[in-house]
Amino acid sequence: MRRCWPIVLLLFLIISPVNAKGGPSQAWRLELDGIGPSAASPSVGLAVSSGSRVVLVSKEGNVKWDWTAGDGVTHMAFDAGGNLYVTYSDKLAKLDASGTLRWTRDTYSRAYSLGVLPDGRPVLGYDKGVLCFDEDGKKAWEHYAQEECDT
Amino acid sequence: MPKAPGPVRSLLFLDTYRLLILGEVFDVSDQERAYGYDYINIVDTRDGYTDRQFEAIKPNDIVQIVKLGTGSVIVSAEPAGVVGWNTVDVNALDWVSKGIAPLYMAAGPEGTALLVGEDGLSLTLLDTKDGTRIMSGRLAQIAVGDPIFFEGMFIVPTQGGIEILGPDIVKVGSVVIEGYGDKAGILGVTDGFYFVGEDLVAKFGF
Repeated sequence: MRRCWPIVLLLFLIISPVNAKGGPSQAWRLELDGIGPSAASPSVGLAVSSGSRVVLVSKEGNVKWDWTAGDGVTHMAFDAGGNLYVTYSDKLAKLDASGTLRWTRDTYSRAYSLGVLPDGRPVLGYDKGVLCFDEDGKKAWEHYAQEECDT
Repeated sequence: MPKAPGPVRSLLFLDTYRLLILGEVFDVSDQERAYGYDYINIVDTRDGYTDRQFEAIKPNDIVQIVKLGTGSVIVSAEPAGVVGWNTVDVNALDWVSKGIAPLYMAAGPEGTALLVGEDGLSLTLLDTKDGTRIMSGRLAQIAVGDPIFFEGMFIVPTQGGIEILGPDIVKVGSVVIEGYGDKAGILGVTDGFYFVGEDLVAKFGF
Protein backbone atom coordinates (compact mmCIF):
# COMPACT_ATOMS: atom_id res chain seq x y z
CA MET A 1 0.00 0.00 0.00
CA ARG A 2 1.40 3.34 -0.95
CA ARG A 3 2.11 5.91 1.73
CA CYS A 4 0.38 9.25 1.48
CA TRP A 5 2.39 12.39 1.14
CA PRO A 6 2.00 14.58 4.19
CA ILE A 7 2.11 18.01 2.61
CA VAL A 8 4.23 19.46 -0.10
CA LEU A 9 6.15 21.57 2.42
CA LEU A 10 7.52 18.41 3.93
CA LEU A 11 9.08 17.36 0.69
CA PHE A 12 12.73 18.04 0.80
CA LEU A 13 15.03 18.86 -2.00
CA ILE A 14 18.45 17.34 -1.98
CA ILE A 15 21.14 18.65 -4.23
CA SER A 16 23.92 16.14 -3.94
CA PRO A 17 26.70 14.75 -6.06
CA VAL A 18 26.43 11.24 -7.42
CA ASN A 19 28.93 8.61 -8.33
CA ALA A 20 29.07 9.40 -11.99
CA LYS A 21 31.55 7.55 -14.16
CA GLY A 22 31.59 9.20 -17.53
CA GLY A 23 27.85 9.59 -17.63
CA PRO A 24 25.33 12.38 -17.28
CA SER A 25 25.46 14.85 -14.41
CA GLN A 26 22.69 15.17 -11.86
CA ALA A 27 20.95 18.54 -11.82
CA TRP A 28 18.68 17.91 -8.87
CA ARG A 29 17.06 15.17 -6.87
CA LEU A 30 13.79 15.08 -4.96
CA GLU A 31 12.76 12.39 -2.50
CA LEU A 32 9.04 11.65 -2.39
CA ASP A 33 7.06 8.74 -1.00
CA GLY A 34 5.15 6.29 -3.16
CA ILE A 35 5.54 7.78 -6.62
CA GLY A 36 2.98 6.56 -9.13
CA PRO A 37 2.35 7.66 -12.74
CA SER A 38 4.43 10.58 -13.94
CA ALA A 39 4.76 12.71 -17.07
CA ALA A 40 7.40 15.07 -18.41
CA SER A 41 7.07 18.28 -20.40
CA PRO A 42 10.06 19.99 -22.03
CA SER A 43 8.60 23.40 -21.23
CA VAL A 44 6.96 22.90 -17.84
CA GLY A 45 8.86 20.19 -15.96
CA LEU A 46 7.87 16.92 -14.35
CA ALA A 47 4.47 15.96 -12.97
CA VAL A 48 4.56 13.16 -10.42
CA SER A 49 1.69 11.52 -8.58
CA SER A 50 1.29 9.59 -5.37
CA GLY A 51 -2.13 8.20 -4.67
CA SER A 52 -4.51 11.02 -5.54
CA ARG A 53 -1.92 13.83 -5.29
CA VAL A 54 -0.25 15.43 -8.26
CA VAL A 55 2.83 17.63 -7.84
CA LEU A 56 4.43 19.71 -10.55
CA VAL A 57 8.20 20.02 -10.24
CA SER A 58 9.80 22.68 -12.43
CA LYS A 59 12.73 21.98 -14.72
CA GLU A 60 14.91 23.49 -12.02
CA GLY A 61 13.62 21.12 -9.34
CA ASN A 62 11.22 23.46 -7.53
CA VAL A 63 7.72 22.36 -6.51
CA LYS A 64 5.39 24.77 -8.35
CA TRP A 65 1.95 23.50 -7.44
CA ASP A 66 0.01 20.47 -6.29
CA TRP A 67 -3.49 19.22 -6.93
CA THR A 68 -5.58 16.44 -5.47
CA ALA A 69 -7.72 14.22 -7.67
CA GLY A 70 -10.90 12.53 -6.48
CA ASP A 71 -9.18 9.13 -6.42
CA GLY A 72 -5.88 7.46 -7.16
CA VAL A 73 -4.20 8.81 -10.29
CA THR A 74 -3.82 6.17 -13.01
CA HIS A 75 -2.20 8.10 -15.89
CA MET A 76 -0.86 11.55 -16.76
CA ALA A 77 0.19 13.22 -20.02
CA PHE A 78 1.19 16.73 -21.07
CA ASP A 79 0.21 18.50 -24.26
CA ALA A 80 2.68 20.74 -26.09
CA GLY A 81 1.28 23.82 -24.35
CA GLY A 82 2.05 22.49 -20.88
CA ASN A 83 -1.53 21.51 -20.00
CA LEU A 84 -1.66 18.31 -17.96
CA TYR A 85 -4.26 15.58 -18.45
CA VAL A 86 -4.88 13.28 -15.49
CA THR A 87 -7.03 10.16 -15.24
CA TYR A 88 -8.44 8.80 -11.99
CA SER A 89 -11.45 6.62 -11.23
CA ASP A 90 -13.67 7.01 -14.34
CA LYS A 91 -12.63 10.63 -14.92
CA LEU A 92 -10.35 12.66 -17.15
CA ALA A 93 -9.21 16.04 -15.80
CA LYS A 94 -7.44 18.88 -17.58
CA LEU A 95 -5.13 21.17 -15.58
CA ASP A 96 -3.46 24.17 -17.14
CA ALA A 97 0.23 24.90 -16.75
CA SER A 98 -0.41 26.77 -13.49
CA GLY A 99 -2.27 23.83 -11.96
CA THR A 100 -5.77 25.27 -12.35
CA LEU A 101 -8.46 22.69 -13.07
CA ARG A 102 -10.06 23.49 -16.45
CA TRP A 103 -12.55 20.63 -16.71
CA THR A 104 -13.30 17.01 -15.85
CA ARG A 105 -15.15 14.45 -17.98
CA ASP A 106 -16.58 10.97 -17.49
CA THR A 107 -14.72 8.18 -19.29
CA TYR A 108 -17.13 5.18 -18.97
CA SER A 109 -14.58 3.19 -16.92
CA ARG A 110 -11.13 3.63 -15.42
CA ALA A 111 -8.49 4.56 -17.99
CA TYR A 112 -5.98 1.92 -19.06
CA SER A 113 -3.83 4.28 -21.12
CA LEU A 114 -3.60 7.99 -21.90
CA GLY A 115 -1.91 10.16 -24.48
CA VAL A 116 -2.16 13.49 -26.30
CA LEU A 117 -2.42 13.67 -30.08
CA PRO A 118 -0.05 15.94 -32.00
CA ASP A 119 -2.94 18.39 -32.42
CA GLY A 120 -3.39 18.63 -28.65
CA ARG A 121 -6.44 16.42 -28.16
CA PRO A 122 -6.34 13.89 -25.33
CA VAL A 123 -7.08 10.22 -26.05
CA LEU A 124 -7.49 7.44 -23.55
CA GLY A 125 -8.00 3.71 -23.59
CA TYR A 126 -10.96 2.60 -21.50
CA ASP A 127 -12.35 -0.87 -20.81
CA LYS A 128 -13.78 -1.42 -24.31
CA GLY A 129 -12.02 0.95 -26.67
CA VAL A 130 -10.61 4.44 -27.10
CA LEU A 131 -12.10 7.86 -26.36
CA CYS A 132 -10.88 11.11 -27.89
CA PHE A 133 -11.87 14.54 -26.56
CA ASP A 134 -11.21 17.95 -27.98
CA GLU A 135 -9.25 20.50 -25.98
CA ASP A 136 -12.45 21.90 -24.48
CA GLY A 137 -13.53 18.50 -23.22
CA LYS A 138 -16.14 17.67 -25.86
CA LYS A 139 -16.06 14.06 -27.03
CA ALA A 140 -14.57 13.99 -30.55
CA TRP A 141 -14.83 10.28 -31.36
CA GLU A 142 -14.90 6.82 -29.89
CA HIS A 143 -13.21 3.68 -31.20
CA TYR A 144 -14.83 0.35 -30.38
CA ALA A 145 -12.94 -2.59 -31.86
CA GLN A 146 -15.86 -4.88 -32.59
CA GLU A 147 -14.12 -6.23 -35.69
CA GLU A 148 -11.73 -8.11 -33.42
CA CYS A 149 -14.57 -10.19 -32.05
CA ASP A 150 -16.62 -11.05 -35.12
CA THR A 151 -14.84 -14.32 -35.82
CA MET B 1 -17.04 -18.64 -26.76
CA PRO B 2 -18.46 -15.16 -27.62
CA LYS B 3 -15.96 -12.38 -27.21
CA ALA B 4 -16.03 -8.60 -26.76
CA PRO B 5 -13.41 -5.86 -26.88
CA GLY B 6 -11.58 -5.40 -23.60
CA PRO B 7 -9.31 -2.71 -22.16
CA VAL B 8 -7.03 -0.73 -24.48
CA ARG B 9 -3.85 -0.72 -22.47
CA SER B 10 -1.42 1.07 -24.74
CA LEU B 11 -1.47 4.00 -27.19
CA LEU B 12 1.34 4.84 -29.57
CA PHE B 13 1.34 7.83 -31.93
CA LEU B 14 2.80 6.91 -35.29
CA ASP B 15 2.32 10.24 -37.08
CA THR B 16 -0.13 13.12 -37.29
CA TYR B 17 -3.20 11.07 -38.14
CA ARG B 18 -2.34 7.53 -37.10
CA LEU B 19 -2.68 6.15 -33.59
CA LEU B 20 -1.66 2.58 -32.83
CA ILE B 21 -3.70 0.96 -30.09
CA LEU B 22 -3.11 -2.28 -28.18
CA GLY B 23 -6.24 -3.88 -26.83
CA GLU B 24 -7.34 -7.00 -25.05
CA VAL B 25 -10.33 -9.21 -25.76
CA PHE B 26 -12.70 -10.57 -23.13
CA ASP B 27 -14.79 -13.72 -23.04
CA VAL B 28 -18.34 -12.43 -22.70
CA SER B 29 -19.61 -15.24 -20.49
CA ASP B 30 -17.10 -14.98 -17.67
CA GLN B 31 -15.80 -11.43 -18.25
CA GLU B 32 -12.24 -12.67 -18.09
CA ARG B 33 -9.43 -11.75 -20.43
CA ALA B 34 -9.15 -14.12 -23.40
CA TYR B 35 -5.42 -14.84 -23.50
CA GLY B 36 -3.98 -15.11 -26.96
CA TYR B 37 -6.42 -12.60 -28.46
CA ASP B 38 -4.63 -9.29 -27.94
CA TYR B 39 -5.03 -7.04 -30.94
CA ILE B 40 -3.27 -4.08 -32.51
CA ASN B 41 -5.18 -1.61 -34.66
CA ILE B 42 -4.13 1.62 -36.29
CA VAL B 43 -6.81 4.24 -35.80
CA ASP B 44 -7.31 7.36 -37.92
CA THR B 45 -7.22 10.18 -35.36
CA ARG B 46 -9.55 12.35 -37.43
CA ASP B 47 -12.57 10.12 -36.96
CA GLY B 48 -11.60 7.12 -34.82
CA TYR B 49 -12.06 4.53 -37.57
CA THR B 50 -9.74 1.57 -38.03
CA ASP B 51 -7.13 2.23 -40.70
CA ARG B 52 -5.22 -1.05 -40.49
CA GLN B 53 -4.95 -4.17 -38.37
CA PHE B 54 -1.91 -6.14 -37.26
CA GLU B 55 -2.21 -9.66 -38.60
CA ALA B 56 1.41 -10.88 -38.57
CA ILE B 57 0.96 -13.28 -35.69
CA LYS B 58 -2.05 -14.92 -34.13
CA PRO B 59 -2.74 -15.98 -31.49
CA ASN B 60 -0.63 -13.73 -29.36
CA ASP B 61 -0.23 -12.04 -26.02
CA ILE B 62 1.45 -8.72 -26.68
CA VAL B 63 4.09 -7.68 -24.19
CA GLN B 64 5.35 -4.39 -25.60
CA ILE B 65 5.34 -2.23 -28.73
CA VAL B 66 8.12 0.15 -29.66
CA LYS B 67 7.96 2.71 -32.44
CA LEU B 68 10.98 2.70 -34.73
CA GLY B 69 9.80 5.48 -37.02
CA THR B 70 6.56 6.69 -38.54
CA GLY B 71 6.37 3.57 -40.70
CA SER B 72 7.43 0.70 -38.52
CA VAL B 73 7.20 -0.80 -35.06
CA ILE B 74 8.56 -3.84 -33.28
CA VAL B 75 6.22 -5.95 -31.20
CA SER B 76 7.22 -8.39 -28.47
CA ALA B 77 4.72 -11.16 -27.91
CA GLU B 78 4.27 -14.60 -26.40
CA PRO B 79 4.86 -17.06 -27.89
CA ALA B 80 6.07 -15.42 -31.11
CA GLY B 81 9.08 -13.49 -29.81
CA VAL B 82 9.87 -10.18 -31.52
CA VAL B 83 8.00 -9.14 -34.63
CA GLY B 84 8.82 -6.35 -37.06
CA TRP B 85 5.79 -4.70 -38.65
CA ASN B 86 5.71 -2.17 -41.46
CA THR B 87 2.69 -0.05 -40.56
CA VAL B 88 2.51 1.74 -43.92
CA ASP B 89 3.22 -0.61 -46.80
CA VAL B 90 0.70 -3.47 -46.78
CA ASN B 91 2.91 -5.48 -49.14
CA ALA B 92 6.04 -5.13 -47.04
CA LEU B 93 7.49 -8.28 -45.55
CA ASP B 94 7.16 -8.48 -41.81
CA TRP B 95 9.62 -10.60 -39.88
CA VAL B 96 9.52 -12.69 -36.74
CA SER B 97 12.56 -13.26 -34.53
CA LYS B 98 11.50 -16.34 -32.59
CA GLY B 99 12.37 -16.68 -28.94
CA ILE B 100 11.25 -15.60 -25.53
CA ALA B 101 9.83 -12.10 -25.50
CA PRO B 102 12.33 -9.62 -24.04
CA LEU B 103 11.66 -7.88 -20.77
CA TYR B 104 12.28 -4.41 -22.21
CA MET B 105 12.90 -2.88 -25.64
CA ALA B 106 14.05 0.49 -26.95
CA ALA B 107 14.51 1.92 -30.42
CA GLY B 108 18.14 2.69 -31.17
CA PRO B 109 19.98 4.58 -33.87
CA GLU B 110 18.91 4.04 -37.46
CA GLY B 111 17.90 0.43 -38.06
CA THR B 112 18.60 -0.94 -34.60
CA ALA B 113 16.82 -1.72 -31.35
CA LEU B 114 18.01 -2.71 -27.89
CA LEU B 115 16.40 -5.76 -26.27
CA VAL B 116 16.83 -6.61 -22.59
CA GLY B 117 16.31 -10.32 -22.03
CA GLU B 118 13.97 -11.90 -19.54
CA ASP B 119 16.80 -12.20 -16.99
CA GLY B 120 17.04 -8.39 -16.99
CA LEU B 121 20.77 -8.60 -17.74
CA SER B 122 21.34 -9.95 -21.23
CA LEU B 123 21.37 -7.43 -24.06
CA THR B 124 20.80 -7.83 -27.77
CA LEU B 125 21.25 -5.19 -30.42
CA LEU B 126 18.77 -6.09 -33.13
CA ASP B 127 18.87 -5.20 -36.82
CA THR B 128 15.32 -3.99 -37.30
CA LYS B 129 15.37 -4.49 -41.07
CA ASP B 130 15.27 -8.26 -40.75
CA GLY B 131 15.27 -9.13 -37.05
CA THR B 132 18.81 -10.52 -36.95
CA ARG B 133 21.15 -10.06 -34.01
CA ILE B 134 23.97 -7.56 -34.53
CA MET B 135 25.69 -8.09 -31.20
CA SER B 136 25.14 -9.18 -27.63
CA GLY B 137 26.09 -7.69 -24.29
CA ARG B 138 25.33 -7.76 -20.62
CA LEU B 139 24.35 -5.22 -18.00
CA ALA B 140 26.27 -5.07 -14.73
CA GLN B 141 23.01 -4.90 -12.77
CA ILE B 142 19.44 -5.98 -13.48
CA ALA B 143 17.29 -3.59 -15.51
CA VAL B 144 14.24 -2.25 -13.68
CA GLY B 145 12.50 -0.33 -16.46
CA ASP B 146 12.46 0.58 -20.13
CA PRO B 147 15.67 2.01 -21.59
CA ILE B 148 15.62 5.05 -23.86
CA PHE B 149 18.00 6.12 -26.60
CA PHE B 150 19.01 9.69 -25.86
CA GLU B 151 21.84 11.91 -27.06
CA GLY B 152 23.46 9.00 -28.87
CA MET B 153 23.38 6.64 -25.89
CA PHE B 154 21.12 4.03 -24.36
CA ILE B 155 20.09 5.05 -20.84
CA VAL B 156 19.07 1.96 -18.83
CA PRO B 157 17.56 2.14 -15.33
CA THR B 158 19.00 -0.66 -13.22
CA GLN B 159 18.95 -1.88 -9.64
CA GLY B 160 22.05 0.22 -8.96
CA GLY B 161 20.94 3.36 -10.73
CA ILE B 162 21.64 4.03 -14.39
CA GLU B 163 23.89 2.31 -16.90
CA ILE B 164 24.91 4.23 -20.01
CA LEU B 165 25.57 2.23 -23.17
CA GLY B 166 26.95 3.41 -26.47
CA PRO B 167 25.05 2.72 -29.70
CA ASP B 168 27.05 -0.52 -29.93
CA ILE B 169 25.65 -1.47 -26.45
CA VAL B 170 29.10 -1.27 -24.87
CA LYS B 171 28.97 0.30 -21.40
CA VAL B 172 30.36 3.83 -21.36
CA GLY B 173 29.29 5.03 -17.94
CA SER B 174 27.08 4.61 -14.91
CA VAL B 175 25.41 6.60 -12.18
CA VAL B 176 24.80 5.17 -8.72
CA ILE B 177 21.34 6.02 -7.37
CA GLU B 178 20.26 4.52 -4.07
CA GLY B 179 16.97 4.46 -2.24
CA TYR B 180 14.62 4.83 -5.16
CA GLY B 181 12.64 1.58 -4.68
CA ASP B 182 12.32 -1.45 -6.97
CA LYS B 183 11.16 0.01 -10.29
CA ALA B 184 12.21 3.07 -12.24
CA GLY B 185 11.54 4.81 -15.51
CA ILE B 186 13.42 7.27 -17.68
CA LEU B 187 11.62 10.23 -19.27
CA GLY B 188 13.59 12.12 -21.89
CA VAL B 189 13.15 15.86 -22.45
CA THR B 190 15.04 18.34 -24.59
CA ASP B 191 17.60 19.37 -21.98
CA GLY B 192 18.17 16.03 -20.26
CA PHE B 193 16.15 13.23 -18.74
CA TYR B 194 14.25 12.44 -15.57
CA PHE B 195 14.88 9.33 -13.52
CA VAL B 196 11.61 8.41 -11.79
CA GLY B 197 11.80 5.78 -9.08
CA GLU B 198 9.23 4.74 -6.51
CA ASP B 199 10.53 7.11 -3.83
CA LEU B 200 12.80 9.49 -5.71
CA VAL B 201 12.95 11.59 -8.85
CA ALA B 202 16.08 13.16 -10.28
CA LYS B 203 16.99 15.18 -13.33
CA PHE B 204 20.15 14.63 -15.33
CA GLY B 205 21.81 16.61 -18.08
CA PHE B 206 24.87 16.15 -20.23
